[in-house]
Amino acid sequence: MSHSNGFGLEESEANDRETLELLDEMKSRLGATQPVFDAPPAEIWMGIEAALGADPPDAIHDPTVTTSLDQYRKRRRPVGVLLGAIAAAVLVAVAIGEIGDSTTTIGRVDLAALETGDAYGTATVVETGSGQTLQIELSRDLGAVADDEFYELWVIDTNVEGMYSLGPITADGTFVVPDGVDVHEFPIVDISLEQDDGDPAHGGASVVRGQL
Amino acid sequence: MTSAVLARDLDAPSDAFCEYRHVVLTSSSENPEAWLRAKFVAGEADALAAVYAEHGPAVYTYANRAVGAEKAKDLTQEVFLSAWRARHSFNPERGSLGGWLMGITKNRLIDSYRKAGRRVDEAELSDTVQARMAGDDHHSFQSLTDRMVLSSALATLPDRQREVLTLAFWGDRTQQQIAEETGLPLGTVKSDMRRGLLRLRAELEQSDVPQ
Repeated sequence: MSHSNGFGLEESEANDRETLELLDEMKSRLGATQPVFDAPPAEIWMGIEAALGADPPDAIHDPTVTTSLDQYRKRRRPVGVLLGAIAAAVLVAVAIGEIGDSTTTIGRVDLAALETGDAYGTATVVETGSGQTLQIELSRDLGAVADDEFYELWVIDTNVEGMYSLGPITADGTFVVPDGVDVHEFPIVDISLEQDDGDPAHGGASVVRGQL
Repeated sequence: MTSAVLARDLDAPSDAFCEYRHVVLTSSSENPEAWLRAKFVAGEADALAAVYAEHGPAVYTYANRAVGAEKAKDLTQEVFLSAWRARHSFNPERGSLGGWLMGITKNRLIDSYRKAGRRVDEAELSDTVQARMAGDDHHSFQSLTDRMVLSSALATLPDRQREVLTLAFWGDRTQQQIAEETGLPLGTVKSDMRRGLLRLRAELEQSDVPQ
């Protein structure tokens, strides 16, 4: 960076001038206000994945190599919220049978395998008076897992940014949506294959999904 | 729930790319962009997701402003699918993936106008776009394109270059002021600014190449 000879200095000044001219040009082409990008709706990526089902990328055959959710691993929910949600789901899933008649079905989600598109059953959203539940009826087994793996049920927003765990799932059952959470705001029902590694975040390996 | 993100903060909401970039950085000792490009061209699904996470907002926003939200969804999907299928034709020497994607988006937008029975010359496009963009400070298809290409490219610059340019573009700071505010040496501010601007110009040129 020596400017000890005249040529270096001239070159440097010419660069400076060019930089400032370029700055002015780019500034005027960018506009007076800082651009804001709209968040693309999640259905766009889901559509891309669905379309790729017929022309799969090389890596998508491996079920542990994942779908878009791998790219959107949840980080924002505090661990406590998730653990609380899991605990609540397990507890209330046991108690739910006793709640009785005052329930209304408010939606139904067809579930399908992400990789193959095969139908996998339904998730029925029920308003219980004290909150919402998801009744999962699987039309086929989720598949065997290794000792250190388990399946987990989630509801996810359409930006695929926010999500809540409804707890581990092994078969049909009723799962409580965490208090204050409206499934209409988290309309993607997702079952993922998780590693038993203590990390409460979505591991990215979605297996089955559907959207309200 | 926020539905929009500032271009300069693109990395923040897009956990996707941060995470992927982390993988990239730990997987390749040097140029992470080149590594991602290589993965994309090689056809790895994760790379497509990372490319979408990085460029999806810009492509969608561009389409949204030009043809409205409903058509923009389909169009964004088409852009990424056709980019994926044509990934072997991507030439990194002519510019970045972002510039290439924006070029594809531009062509798709022109196609969509053509399908709608409109004449294809840009003056005609401008009228339509202008009507849709009432209130915006840009009034032609070309200026919308420039703006989107540049914003997209800016978002993918290295952090320091992006910060320096953001302060210069919208903070109206001089190089000296930027150096004082950021604590960077003036020479660094100058070279970051120059490199960043040259990259932006290259991206603009790339987007003008017919795809």
